[in-house]
Formats: sequence, structure tokens, C-alpha cells
Amino acid sequence: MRQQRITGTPLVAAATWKREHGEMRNLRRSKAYWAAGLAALLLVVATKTVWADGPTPTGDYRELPGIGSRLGVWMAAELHLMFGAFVLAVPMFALVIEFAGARSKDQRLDRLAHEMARLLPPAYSMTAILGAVLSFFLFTLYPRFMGYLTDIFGPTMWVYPLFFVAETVSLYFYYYSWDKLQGKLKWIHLLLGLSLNIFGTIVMFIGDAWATFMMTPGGVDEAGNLASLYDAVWNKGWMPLNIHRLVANITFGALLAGAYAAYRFLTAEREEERAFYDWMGYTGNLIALFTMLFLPFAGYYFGFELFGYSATYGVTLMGGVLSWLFIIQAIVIAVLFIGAAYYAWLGLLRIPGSEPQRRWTPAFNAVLIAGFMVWATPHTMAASIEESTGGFHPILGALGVMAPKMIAVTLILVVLYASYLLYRRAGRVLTVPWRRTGNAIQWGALGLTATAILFLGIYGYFAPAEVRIATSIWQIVVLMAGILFTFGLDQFLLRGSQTVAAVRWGTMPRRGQYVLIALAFVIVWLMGLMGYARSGVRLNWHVFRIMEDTSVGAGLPSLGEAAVIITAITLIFFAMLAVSFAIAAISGRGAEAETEAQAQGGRRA
Amino acid sequence: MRRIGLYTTATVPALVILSFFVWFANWIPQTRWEPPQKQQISSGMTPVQLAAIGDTVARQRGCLACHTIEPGAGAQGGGRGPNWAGVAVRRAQGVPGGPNNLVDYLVQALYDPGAYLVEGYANIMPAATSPPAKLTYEEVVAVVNYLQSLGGTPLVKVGDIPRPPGETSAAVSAAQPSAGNVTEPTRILSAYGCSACHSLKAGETLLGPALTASGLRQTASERSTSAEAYVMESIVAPAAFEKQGFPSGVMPQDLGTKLTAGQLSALVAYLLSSGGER
Repeated sequence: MRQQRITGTPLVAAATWKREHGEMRNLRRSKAYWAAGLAALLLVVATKTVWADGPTPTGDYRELPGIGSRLGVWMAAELHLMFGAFVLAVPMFALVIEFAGARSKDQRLDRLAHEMARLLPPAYSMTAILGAVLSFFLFTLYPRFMGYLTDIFGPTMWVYPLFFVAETVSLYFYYYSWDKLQGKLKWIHLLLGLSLNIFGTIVMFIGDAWATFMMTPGGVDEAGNLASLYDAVWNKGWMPLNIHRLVANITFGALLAGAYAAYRFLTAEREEERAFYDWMGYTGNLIALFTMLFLPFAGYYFGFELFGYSATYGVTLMGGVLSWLFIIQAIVIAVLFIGAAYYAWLGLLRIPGSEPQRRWTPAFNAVLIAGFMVWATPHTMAASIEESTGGFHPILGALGVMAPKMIAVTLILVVLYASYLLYRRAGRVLTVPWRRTGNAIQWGALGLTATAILFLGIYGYFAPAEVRIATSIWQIVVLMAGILFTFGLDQFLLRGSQTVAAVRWGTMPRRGQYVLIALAFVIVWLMGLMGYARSGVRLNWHVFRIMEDTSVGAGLPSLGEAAVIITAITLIFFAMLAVSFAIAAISGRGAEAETEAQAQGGRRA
Repeated sequence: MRRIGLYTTATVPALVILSFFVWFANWIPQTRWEPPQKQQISSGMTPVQLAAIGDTVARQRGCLACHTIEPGAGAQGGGRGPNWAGVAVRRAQGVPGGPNNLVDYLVQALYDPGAYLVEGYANIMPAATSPPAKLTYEEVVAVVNYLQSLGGTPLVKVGDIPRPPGETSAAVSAAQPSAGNVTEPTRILSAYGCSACHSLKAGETLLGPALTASGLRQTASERSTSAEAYVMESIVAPAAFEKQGFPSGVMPQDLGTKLTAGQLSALVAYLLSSGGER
């Protein structure tokens, strides 16, 4: 294992890395390749494969001209996953919103679900194209590795296309039959949406089995020979990643739908249109905020399982070569959480008379920032694994371990939830006779929740590791119990409340829309970063401990170089997404005219 | 044009934030990680030379992500694993219930880290010869010398300590025919790497117990079984009975599938005959 300290600007450093790996002559050329886009890459690899190599097998690896195999696969995989996440998530909340609309006979909800579903067909095509590019890259550039993976997972690779076709059929029928399957036939449409979600989830689960097998291989002997396909699929990392991706995909899709709404809001020329897209942006952010509550725990669960499989993962991620990555992650998530909270607080401006709720925002902001400072604190400050002496930093070490981070994360979630509770109160006057007592109980329970979380965290800090893990689980239980209790109470408290000021949809400040767009960029960048972490933690293993990566691209770039590449991927993704959204907008113009009248007289969310 | 201007304006905050991420990622210390490079170690190197290489190996393979080198802190440092500083002094007599000298203890700690756990530390270390560290035999020798140098004097040369279970040196492997074709008992012992851990000399203890006819018969007697059955069981199912005082789970479990019936029979007969006693 060799590590190099790098000096100079990021671009110089990135160029140096590419040159040293023989993958790229200089960065100027690489920028030109990026600009040329994935279509050119496909052409290049096809040319290389057909004419340069001919029919003769060339061993374990082939090299992608220009940018190198590693970078080519990295970009194709990440872009495919991003579009895949989007087309998996949007049907989930489209279906839920459509179901809610069908039950309440609220046409505006049905329109919102339809508007979201409109994004699906073009995005789905992009997903399929990128999946094909990724497959071509993998099979042509890493033949030995893919041969091995095919030996293990052959049967699942035969089944995969069947579910993929089923998902495709469901998706197109779901979208194109929207107007026809209304009224009494609505249940058929809902069933189509359900089948779309089920098939999409199965497709993701199958892909997750391949990805997690590379990290936590199961069902094989020490030499890598298949003993049980069931165990290979249900390896230690499979279900945690399934859960993590399910939740994260919803956050991802909700924020992208929010960004779409923000663009439509900014370009809207009529008040009704602006009101609708304001509401759509609010709904997207609300869904994202809600699912974000669960993301840290899903991440911890995945991390626990990885650590359980091999302590090496824990060391590499938290104390080794990738430890600084988690400081970047903490900052990115901080921007995400604080941004989402800021948007929610801005939303109070839509509601006249919400001053009592708004005064809490500085205090909430302070807690959020303090929480993220703790989260971002590393336990060591070594620049590299070679410089590390393995100890904890004398000052920062106390905040760098799990217990204070769990306190910080859970208290951040309490604050985000409290923001939501306040939002529900804005513009409303409680009328139940026990409102003072109810309020005291509700906020007292939330305070008690925060205190219990703090106490459990401090107790865990001084306890042995196994006790600390147990207390962290109890912190989650307490948080969930606190949320369920106070939210249930809130339902009763708001029963019969007077709405003194309706939400003025469409009056959200423009900066609120900029926040929504920025949040979409941030979640995409975060997904790129964590995708890099998940793949990079294997270091030089295609399949951890079983198949070593001996290609010229084996190794990890510096975090600065990785950040440049992740940013490039993010920008390419948005360029492609913009094309998808433009297509969706074109297809939506005709439908808008028909449904506009139905959008009148919207109700309060 | 108005729309393009609007899109651009709306995207500026997002691009500023992404630029901040890129700046921050480049502001923190930058290191590139590259796959482990095998160290060039020759059998003629002195222990001091080996210790210097061992220092490099230990740092490059990530040992210090868990272990600390904190002079004066005793075994309990601030890391996830025990403190290395002063280990040569602290473990000069080995550990209770385990190896009784420093080198054997270090070898055991590298080959089978879970065999003895320093109080207060969990069994999280993979064998040093397994991924991800994946040390070669020669690198193990170098690391042992390096650890000896932390409070003591490096003394070990290549060949002085047993090879990892199941590993034979490349030179030996290349010089010998396929293990499955070997019929002569002493060559079977060599071909399957038995000699790396088991001595045939009475009183000489390597990683595993010495294989003397008298010792084997005595253990068989204590277990109330025939000597032949005991030796055969120990080869094909070593986990069934393990002598106390030796690392657990080190012996390959698959010899029963690798040895031919003829080899197994010849080996058992040889070990229980006077020919096995040297």
C-alpha cells in the first residue's frame, strides 16, 4: 500500500493522478472528453473493442482510451444509479399521492401525481441507456471479473431482464393510461402503479445483490467457488443496502421533483401555475425532510453490518484512507438538512400571522450548526494512514467517537421535526378546551425526548462498546416514540382548529426556489460521494478478499481529485436531466390546459 | 433568452455550493492510495535491515490505523488495538497460557490474532497474512523484527519462524512435484506444509505440537482411542480435538480432501513408527 501526499491545485493534482495512472495524458484533454459526453465514450469503446482487440481475448483487463477504464465505469455506474434512483423513487410517492387524491376526491393531488409521473418516461429511457453503457463497459473492460460475477449470479442475470421488462410495461401503461383510467377504473390505474413499484424494487434488489456481494461476499468458499446462490444474494450487506437505498432514493427523487417544481415556478406566467408549483415544491421538500429522518439510521445499520463483516471496513472508513471523506459527508449533509429546514422556515412567510413560529428559527439554526460541527469532528487528524499513530486527538477525540455523534444526529432530527410541528401551527388557532395542557404535554414530551437522547448518549460514551451500540438503538427508539406520541397528540390538538390565515400558495420568495434547486444539486453530489465511498472502501478488491483488482486503475485518487470527478458527474447528470425535464415539459403543455380548471380552489396541504 | 438567463441565475447558488465542496475536498490533506507493493526481502538480510522494512510494511498496510506507538502508555494506548511501544519488554516472557517467549507470541499474534486478546480489546483483527494486509512470509518476518525493535533488539532472520499455515515458499513449491503425486512420507509432510508448524523432534515446539510417535500415542491414550484413529482424525478433522496451549483453528481443514488415501495411510504409519521419531 503506497500513499502519496499531493500538493498543488486540484486541477493540477487531478491531472497528475491521471498521468501517473496512464489513464489520461492531461486534464485539458480530459475536460474535452467530458464535454464530448457519454455517447462519444460508447463510440470509442466500441471502436476499441471491435478494431483494436479483434476477436482475440486480451486477458483480465482492457483499457478505455482517453479516460481509462476505472473512470469510465465510475461515471457510467454513478449516472446509471442516479437515474435509477429517480425512476424508482418518483413512482413511490406518485402512487401515494394519487391514492390520497383518489380517496379524498381531490383533483389537485391527482394532478400533482400526474405531474410527477410525467418525469418518468424520459428519465426511464436515460436509465436504460446508461445501464446498457455500464454493462458494455464492464463486460468489455473487466472481462475476468464479470466472468466471475456471471458464474456466481448467472441465474439472477437471466431473471433480471424479465423484471426489467415488467417494470417497463408497467411504467408506460401507468403513465399513458392516466387519463383513461379515471373514475371507476382508478383502482386499475393504482394497481398499475403498485406493480410498477414492486417490479422496480425487485430490479433494484437484484442489482444490490451483485453490488453488495463485491463488498461482503457470502455463499462462496475461501477460493470464491459458489456454494449457495441464496447466501450469495442474501449476503451480509444486501438487506441494509436495500433499505438504505429505498429510503435515500425517495429523498433523492423528492428533491429532484422539488427542483423541477422550482424551475416551473420561476418560469410560470400565471398565478395559478405558480401556486401549483409552489405547492409541488413544498410537497417534495416535505417528503424529503420526512425520509431524511430515517437516513442516518439506515446508514448506521449498513455501517454496522459492514463492520460486522470485517473490522477492516470500519478502520478504512473511519480511521483510514477514507476517514476525511466522512468529514466532507457531514458538511454536505449539514447543507442538505439546514437547506431543507431553511426552505421550511421560508415557507412560513406564505402564512400571514406566523411570526410566533418564525421566532424559533435562530435557535433551531444554532442547534443544527452545533450538531453538524460535532458530526464533522474526526477522531484523529492524521493526514494519511502512514502518518496515523492510531490514537484519538487529545481535544477533538472526545467528540469524534460514536456516542456524541449519535447525540448530535438525533437532536438535529428532533429540531427538524419540531420545525415541521411549528409549520403545522402557523395560521391556525387551537380551539380544543384542553389546548394549554395539550401544548404543555406536547412540547414537554419533545423536551423529554431530547433529554433522554442526551442522557443515553452520555451514558453510552462511558460504557463499553456493546453497551454503547445498545444505547444508540435506544436513542432511535426514544426519538421515534417521541415523534409518534407528539404527532398523534397534534392531530387531536388541531381538531376543529380555526384557520385564520390560509396558505398563500405561489407567494414563496424566489430564494426559496433557489434553495430547492440547490438542494437537488447537493443530494446528487452527496449520492456521488457516498457511491465513491461504498466502492472505494473495498480498496484494491473487485470482490473483497476473493478477487483482487490488479488493473492499472486499482487504487484511489485523493479526495480532492474524487471531488472534481463527482462534480463532473453531477453536472453531466443535470445536463441529461434537463433534457428529460424539457421533454416532460413539452409533453405536459397539452395536459396542463385541460387540468388547469381543476386546479382552481385548491385546498390547504 | 429570458428563460436561459433565469435558469442560469437559479443555478448559480447550487454551483457556488458545489464549488465550496470541491474547494473543501481539496483543502484537506490529500493522499492517494495505491495497492500494496510487495517488499523486496532476501534471506540474507540482517534483522536490523528487516526491522526497517517491517516499519514501512506496518505503516503501509494500515496496522497503525488501530495500533498506537505511545511510549510509556503500557499495553493500553488510545487506539482500537493495543499499544505497540515497549511490546518487546512487556512480552519478553510471552503471555499467560500462550507462547512463552516474545517471538512466538508475535508470530501467534500475526498468524492468529484471536488466540490471545489483550484485556480490553475486541477480537477484530484479521490474520496479518489474510486480506487486506495480506503479508507474505518474508514481510511477517520483517514486521516481527520491527516489533522486536520496539523496546528490544531485532534478532529474527528469514527462515527462523514458521511459515503461515498452508503456505510453502515459492522456491520450495517450484522445486517439488505436485503434492498429490508424492508418496514418500517426509515429502508429503513438506509438500503440504506440515513441517512449517510441526517439528518431528521431541521437545521442539513450533506453531503446533511436535509430531513424535511417543507423544501422539500418549495423547491417543489419554483420549481413549487408538493411535491410528487419533492421528487420522487430527489430519482430516483437526477441529475435532485441539491440544491446549496451541493456537486454535490454524491447521488447514481441507487436508482430508487433498491427501490421497495412500498418502494418508503412509503418513499415519510413518508418524507412529519409530521412523517419525528423530
